[in-house]
Amino acid sequence: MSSSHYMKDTKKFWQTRNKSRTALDKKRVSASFSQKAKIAEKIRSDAKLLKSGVTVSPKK
Amino acid sequence: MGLKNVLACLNELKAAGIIQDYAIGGGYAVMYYDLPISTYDLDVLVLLPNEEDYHKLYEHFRAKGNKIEDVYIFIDDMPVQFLPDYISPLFHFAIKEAASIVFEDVHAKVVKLEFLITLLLTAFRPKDRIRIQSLLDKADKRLLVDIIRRFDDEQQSLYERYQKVLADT
Repeated sequence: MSSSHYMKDTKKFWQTRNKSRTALDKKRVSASFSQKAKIAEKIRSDAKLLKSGVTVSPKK
Repeated sequence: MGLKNVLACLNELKAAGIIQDYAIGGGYAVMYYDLPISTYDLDVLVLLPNEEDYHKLYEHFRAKGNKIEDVYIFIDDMPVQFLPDYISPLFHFAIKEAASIVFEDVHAKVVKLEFLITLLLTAFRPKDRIRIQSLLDKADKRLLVDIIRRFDDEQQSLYERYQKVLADT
């Protein structure tokens, strides 16, 4: 991959990402108890799926 | 069903040629290698030729009626952020060298542990430092240092951060 493939100025990209992350975090913090319980349950279920993962072909 | 549906959707994007390849990063990759953590969004590193294709990816989901909020595309109620590889060589090679994993009956790619730690070193928020400390025991340290050196900047910021984490461990 040549260096010309990569974006030169990524400042705006990272600013937008950080702003969006902060907004999402705020939303999660201010969620109701039942919403938080739902999120916790989803994380547990996703973690279970992730732990079931079997490596097929580790690539170098 | 959440995550499994999202992984299936990512595979569909790849099969349709909307993305060339992908790898799971962020908190979900941490959960794969370590313990469940409080994470809400899914970071997906994607191989895309250019910014135009990145916009096409958003257009694809907009046309399908998915909710889009800031940079997040909601797939099966999960906020997903796509991180294009043209942003950084680290993203590019994290996808290229990712591990192929089968989750039940769904294939997916997850960034290698040593790449994940390097990606966390670039963010380096307090919670990233805690995650790095927890992941370090499982990592191949020689490979990790090699990756850090490959993708470090002129000031060697990543290596410096790595040394800070080691000093705190």
